[in-house]
Amino acid sequence: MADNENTFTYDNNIVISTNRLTKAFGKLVAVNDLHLQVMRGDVFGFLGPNGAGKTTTIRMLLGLIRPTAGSAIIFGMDNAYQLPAILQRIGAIVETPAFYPYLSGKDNLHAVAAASGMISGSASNRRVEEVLEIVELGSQAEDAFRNYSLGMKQRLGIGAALLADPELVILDEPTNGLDPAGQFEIRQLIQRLSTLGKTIFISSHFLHDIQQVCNRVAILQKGNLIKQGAVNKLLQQGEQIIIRLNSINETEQALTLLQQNKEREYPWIAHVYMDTSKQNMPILRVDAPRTRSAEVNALLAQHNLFAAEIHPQEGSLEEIFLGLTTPPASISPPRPGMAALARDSSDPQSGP
Amino acid sequence: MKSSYRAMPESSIPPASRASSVLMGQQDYVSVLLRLTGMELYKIRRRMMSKVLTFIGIMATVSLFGLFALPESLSLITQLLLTLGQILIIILVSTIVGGEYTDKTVRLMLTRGPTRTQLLLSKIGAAADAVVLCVVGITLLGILTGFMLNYITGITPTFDFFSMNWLGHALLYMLITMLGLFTYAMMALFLSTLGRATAAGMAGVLTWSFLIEPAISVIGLFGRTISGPLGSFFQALPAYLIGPNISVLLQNDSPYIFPQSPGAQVPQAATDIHALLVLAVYLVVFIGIALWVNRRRDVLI
Repeated sequence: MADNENTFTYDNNIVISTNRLTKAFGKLVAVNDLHLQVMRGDVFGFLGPNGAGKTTTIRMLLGLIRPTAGSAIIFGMDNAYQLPAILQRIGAIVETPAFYPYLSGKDNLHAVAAASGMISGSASNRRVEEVLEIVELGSQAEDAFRNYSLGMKQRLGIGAALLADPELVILDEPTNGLDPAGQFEIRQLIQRLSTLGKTIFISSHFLHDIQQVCNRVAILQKGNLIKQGAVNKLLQQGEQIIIRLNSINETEQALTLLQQNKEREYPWIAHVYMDTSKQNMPILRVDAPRTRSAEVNALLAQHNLFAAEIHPQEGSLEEIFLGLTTPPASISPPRPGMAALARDSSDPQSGP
Repeated sequence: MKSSYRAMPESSIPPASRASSVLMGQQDYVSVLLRLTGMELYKIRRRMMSKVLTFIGIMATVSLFGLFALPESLSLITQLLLTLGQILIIILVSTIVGGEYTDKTVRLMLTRGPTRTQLLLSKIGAAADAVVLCVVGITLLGILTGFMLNYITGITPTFDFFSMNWLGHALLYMLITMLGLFTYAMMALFLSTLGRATAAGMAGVLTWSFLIEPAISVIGLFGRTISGPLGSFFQALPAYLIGPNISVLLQNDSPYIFPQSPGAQVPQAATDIHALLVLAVYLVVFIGIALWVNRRRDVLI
């Protein structure tokens, strides 16, 4: 495993490994010194705001653009030298799927089959029809691609990615343009592919989708990797304990008490702050593991501060993402989980 | 920057087996290239534009050949191919190359496994096939139409001219026509690749072949009125254009095909070797630069 940016090794379980991958367009550095590691069987979420460099990274992995510096090793092969062999084991969508508008969905898949090294013509019929069924385009298979809706185009793109039964599926915003039912189907499809042992690399703005299907994520901002790790660990870092007391005075006392104790006796408390945004009565938000609720409650009780309500709250990828990628000045009050994540953001390679 | 691919990679992670319904073909360079060329031809066949262009070609051929019989009709066929046929081939090749960028399908094709060189070579192969089909098809159609319509127009066809020598030169005449069309087709491929658009190839070649080349030929004539090095330079220019060199090759073959035609007996403007060398240089430049650019550049669409 590559634990810091100066070491670079790989083993058979690492499907994608980038080493100081960098792409600059003139003075604009779109991707900077990127170290990614995607393990075999991962459903890997690749997150970042618009312009963060996600699609540029995907294009570099697929050889559509050449890195300015660094390398990408996929299946143990350097994609600068062995791209054709790598691509035969990958199915990919890059941005909105583009196909030949004058061909039907089925004929487009036949064209993709020929380009993927499959036997052309009727020999590929069975697989093409299988894939059309998987993406539920069987009934529109003979319609011209130009007449497809955006959702149908996305589904055909996923079908093309799956056509040659690849080991690694790279999906760039696969749920774009899909209605909630379509998004749900894609999530299910990804989970099904994962159970078949496929490695899936998925970039998406739909953080809820990512949280539901991915086991590992990387977060990119302005071309820099700011977080990489297991989803469950990130979510743990975003956990909070919410406390509501009976008066503002008590709330302020509790805030002072927790702040005084957090560094000495309760180092697992990352941050405590008062949230006045949602209710008449302010609440306290404690960035701490959910399992510590009872200890926090006991501390308050020892000082005659009895919580009217105390409950642990799970972290969400959306909150974590916003905490990491939104400039602090624009956050009021501080986003939950942000302090805990800020504490770790100097360690972008934190592993699963 | 690393830029070349190794022929057969050594992977540290062995590939997993695919589903039984995924039937992979031969993966050697030529097999992949042939499969891609077949795919290109399939795409051409399925385009409405190809059907329209074919229809235009057939209609033009049928409507022109009633008044001529062999061997003169062969000259008309060549004229038709080097004007209308040339336009149709330029449109077709510009579309199959530039269309990949216009429709953004280039990123689909470039992420499937074949190399960029193989993909462009498959388009060159498809263009060559289209040129051969166009010339053979129009020639046969023209001759057959001529035979049928000659009876209506009262022209009695004779075959006094026919010999194996004549047939050989007639085939050579068709090959020269194919070479001319192919050279312009490669110019279209080159400009469409460079401009990443159908319009770049189409407008560029049509402008070159129907405006710039005739203009330079006129400048060549103008050069005769100027003395000195500038005049010599102007006079020499047309000898290095595509169109005049195709004309030279056709003209040099004409005496063997049209022995009775006074136009065929004009003295040689240049040698076949010169004309072939000029056309070869154009082909090397067009194909070479297109392959190099295609291989080196980033696909950002």
